[in-house]
Amino acid sequence: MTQVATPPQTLKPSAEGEGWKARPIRLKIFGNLIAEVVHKGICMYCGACIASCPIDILFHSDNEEPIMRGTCAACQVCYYSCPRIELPVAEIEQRVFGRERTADEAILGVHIGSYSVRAKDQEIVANAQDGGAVSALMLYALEKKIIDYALVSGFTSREPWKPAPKVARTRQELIDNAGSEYTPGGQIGGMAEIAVPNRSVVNFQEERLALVGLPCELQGFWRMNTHWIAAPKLGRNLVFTIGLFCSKVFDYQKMMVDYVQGTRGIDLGTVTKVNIKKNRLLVYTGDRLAIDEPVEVLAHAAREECNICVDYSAELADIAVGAIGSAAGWSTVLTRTPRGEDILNGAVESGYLEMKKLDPAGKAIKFLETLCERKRLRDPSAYVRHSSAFARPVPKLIPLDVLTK
Amino acid sequence: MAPIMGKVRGAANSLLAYTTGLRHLFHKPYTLKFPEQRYAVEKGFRGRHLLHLDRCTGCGICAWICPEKCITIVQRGDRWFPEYFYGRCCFCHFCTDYCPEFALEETVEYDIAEYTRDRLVWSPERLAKAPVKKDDKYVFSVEGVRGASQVQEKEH
Amino acid sequence: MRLIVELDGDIIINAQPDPGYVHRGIEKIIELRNIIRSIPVIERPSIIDASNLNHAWVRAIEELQGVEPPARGQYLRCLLNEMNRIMSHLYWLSIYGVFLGHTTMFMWPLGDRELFIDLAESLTGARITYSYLVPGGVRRDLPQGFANEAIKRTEYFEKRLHEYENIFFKNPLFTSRAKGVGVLSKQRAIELGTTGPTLRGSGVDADLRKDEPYAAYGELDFKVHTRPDGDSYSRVMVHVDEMRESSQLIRQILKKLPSGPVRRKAPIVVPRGEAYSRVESARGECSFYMIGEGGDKPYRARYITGSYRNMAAISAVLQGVRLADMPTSWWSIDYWPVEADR
Repeated sequence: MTQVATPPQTLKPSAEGEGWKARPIRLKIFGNLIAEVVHKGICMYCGACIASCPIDILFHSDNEEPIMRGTCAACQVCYYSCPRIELPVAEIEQRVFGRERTADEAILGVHIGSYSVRAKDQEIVANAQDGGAVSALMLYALEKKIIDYALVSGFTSREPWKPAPKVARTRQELIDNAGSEYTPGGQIGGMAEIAVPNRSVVNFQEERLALVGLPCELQGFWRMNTHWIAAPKLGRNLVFTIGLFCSKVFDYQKMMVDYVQGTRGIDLGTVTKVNIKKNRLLVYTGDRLAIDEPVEVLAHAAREECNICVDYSAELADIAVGAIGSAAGWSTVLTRTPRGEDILNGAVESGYLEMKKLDPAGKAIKFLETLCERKRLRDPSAYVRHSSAFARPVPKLIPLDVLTK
Repeated sequence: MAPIMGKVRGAANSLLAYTTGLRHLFHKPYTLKFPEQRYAVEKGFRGRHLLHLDRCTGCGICAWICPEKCITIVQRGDRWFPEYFYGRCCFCHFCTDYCPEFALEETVEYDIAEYTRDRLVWSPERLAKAPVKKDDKYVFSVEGVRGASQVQEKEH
Repeated sequence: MRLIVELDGDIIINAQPDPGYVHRGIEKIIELRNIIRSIPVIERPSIIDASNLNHAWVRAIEELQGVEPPARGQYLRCLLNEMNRIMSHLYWLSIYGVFLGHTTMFMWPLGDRELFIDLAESLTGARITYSYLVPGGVRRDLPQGFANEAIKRTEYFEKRLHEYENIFFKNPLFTSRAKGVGVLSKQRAIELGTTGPTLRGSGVDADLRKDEPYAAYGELDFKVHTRPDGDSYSRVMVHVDEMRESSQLIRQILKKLPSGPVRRKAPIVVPRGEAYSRVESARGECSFYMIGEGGDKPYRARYITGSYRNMAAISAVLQGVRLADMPTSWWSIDYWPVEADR
C-alpha cells in the first residue's frame, strides 16, 4: 500500500518567501523616534540613530534632525540607540569606567586627574580654540599609531560654518578641522560613514578610531554600545573618546545665518573663529575681532533641546577638554579613565603637549564645579533613569534677615 | 616551395603540440578523491552561518535583506531567532553583513548536504552549534563523518 | 538556445539564432526586489563573468544616488573585474577546445581557471558567485598575502599561455580550421552593432575601458588588442591577448592600490531619475538603463548583455560557412546563451 508523502510543516513553498513577517508585537520604527524625540523637542542631533541604522537609510539633514530616505525595516535599532529615549547612567558608567561614580564625584563625574595643557606645535595653537589639546592628542595618537583615524568635527564645503563629522588621518586634516563650532553637527552619525567596512565580520584590515564629541554625542555613542538591541558593531574599534565641555549649542540658522551674517552683516566665509568666553560672544575674521557682544544677543538662538541636558563636563569621555578653569591659550583637561591618563601622559612625554597639574581643591576646579552645578539645575527626567546619579544640588539660601537688612 | 614550407611548418607545429602534451603525462594528477581527500578552502570562505543566541535580538534584518528569502524568524519563548532554509540559500552572506548585533558569523562549513529536504531547514539551535574544527586552510564538514553509510538520525 | 540552419549541400546559406528557453524574467525579478537583494540575481545570467555584470548594476545605482566609492574600492572593483575576465575567457577557451575535439584544451584552461578561482575565493569568500560589489564600494578588503599570491599565479598563468600557444594556437588542427573561416568584415561588424572581442577581432579599436573610463581604468595603463582579419582565428587570438593583458593589469592594480576605506555609506534607495550605465564585460558591453521612483526597488531596469548585442553577428558569421566549421565560427563569437536570454 503506497503512502503519499506529505511535506513537513516547516517548508513553506512560496514565490516571495514567508521569511519576513512582522512579529506579533509592537515594533518600534523610526517614526516612533520622530514622534517621541524630535517632535517633542528633545533631539539634540547627536547622530547615534544615523550611525546605528543597519541599512543606512538615515541621514543628516539641514534642520539638525535625522531624516529617513528609503523603507524602514522595523528593526528597532535606531530607537534603542537614542539616548533621549532612555539613558541609564549607572549602567553606562559601569561599562565605561567599570564602576559607578562615588559621592565626591557627583558633580564632575568619574575622573582621575585634572590638568591645564597647551599644545607645543605652533600651527595647532594658531588654529585651535584654546590650547589645542584635542588636536594635539589626536595628532599624538595618529603619529604613534595608536589609532588609524580620528573622527572630528569639521566643515563641509556646502555651507560655511555648518559642522559635519569628518575623518582625519593626517596632521593637515587635523589642523584644517581644528577649532570649535557652537551648532550641533550630528557627530556620531559620521561613524556610519567610516565604520561601514566594519559591518562585515571578515575585515582583514581592522582600523582603530578615536572620537571627539559633545557630552550629548558621547551619551548617544555609549547608549548605542550598551543597549541590547542597539548597534554594538560600531564601537568595536574605538580606542578612546575625547569630550568637550558644553553649556549649550545654538541653532545654526538663527545664530550664524540670521545673526552673524544677517544682523551683523559678516560674511560667514570670512569668519575664522567663534568663541563664547566669560559670557561674551566673540567672532573673529582673521585677526580682527568682528563681534564682541554679551551672549544674551543669542538668547533667541539657544536650542531648547539643550534644556534637559545636565552633563557639562563630558562625564562619559575618556578625556574631557574645555576652556573653563585655565588661562587664555590653555585648555583644561580632565582624565577620566586609565586609558585617558595614559594617552595624556604619553602625549606630554612625546613632546606634543605641555602640562600643569590643577589642584582638585583649587579655584579653577571649583569654578568648573560651579558651572556643572548650574547645568544640573536643568531637568533631565524625560530620559534619564537612575537619576540618583545626578544629585540635584541643594540651593544655598540666603538667610532672610540678611536679605531684609 | 611555399606549400612545402607550409607543410613542414605544419608538421613541426603538430610535433610541438604532441610533445607539449606528453610532457604532462608524468605530472602529479589534479584529481582529489572526495570525500576522503578534500580541497582546502581559503580563509574567509563563505559557508553556512553561525548564530550567537545571546546577541540575536530577533530584529529580522537578516530575513528582510535575504535575496532568496530563506530566513524565517521563529519564536522561542519570548525571544525570536532566525531559522534558515539552506535549500534556497545562495551563501551571499548579506545577512551577516547587515546584522546590527554581530549575531551572525560566517563559517567555512560547506558540506551540509542531506538526504531529505526537511533536514535542510536549520533551526536556531542547530545554527548555534559551533563548527567542529576551525583551522586556517583546511576544510571540514558538519557533524563529523558523512557518506552513504552514515545516515543521520533525526535530531535538532 | 537553438541555431536554425538552412543548408545547400554542405554550405550554410542562412543561420538563424533562436535564443530561448533560458528566460527567467530577470528584469521583472529585479523590479520586485530591493537593490541589494537583486545583486545575486544580476550576477546569474553570466555567472562566470559575475563581477562585470554586478559592476554595471552598481554603477547605475550610484549614478542615481550620487555616491562615489572611495579610491581603494574602485581599484578592488577593477581587480575583480580583470580576474573575472580571465576566468570567463578561460571557460570559453575550454569549450572552444572541446568543440574542436581537443580535449586537452578542454581540461587545461579549466584547470588553470582554478588558480584565479582560489584568488577570488580568498578575496570575496565565494568561488564564482561573488556578490562582492555593492553600491558605495566593495564588501571586503584585500586579505593578507593576497598580493604575493596573485603575482605568483599571474606569472605562472602567462607561462601556461605560452604552453597553450604550443599545443593549440600554433597547432595546424586549429589554424587550418579557423583561419579564413567565419569572416566578419569591419564594416559589417560595426553595422551589426557588435561589441567586445567580436568587434575587436574585426579590427575595430573599441573598448569601453578606454573609451569611457570607469572605476579606476582611467588611471591604469593597458593596451586594447585588435586583429585586422575578422575571421575565427582573429577572434580567438583577441581573447588570448586580452587574457595576457588582464594578467598584467592585475599586477599593476595590486601595485597601484591606494590605501583607505573600501566602502562608503550608500542607502538602499533608488532616487527619482534615470541612469544609463555600461561596462566592458568579457563578452562585450553590458548595460543597465534604470528608472527610479524613490523607493527601494527600481521602477524599471533594462538589462542588456554583450551576448545579446552579438547575436546579430552569428547569422553574418555563419553565412557561407561549411556545416562542419559551424562550431569554430559560432563559438568564436563567445555567445553565452544564458546571458543573451536573461
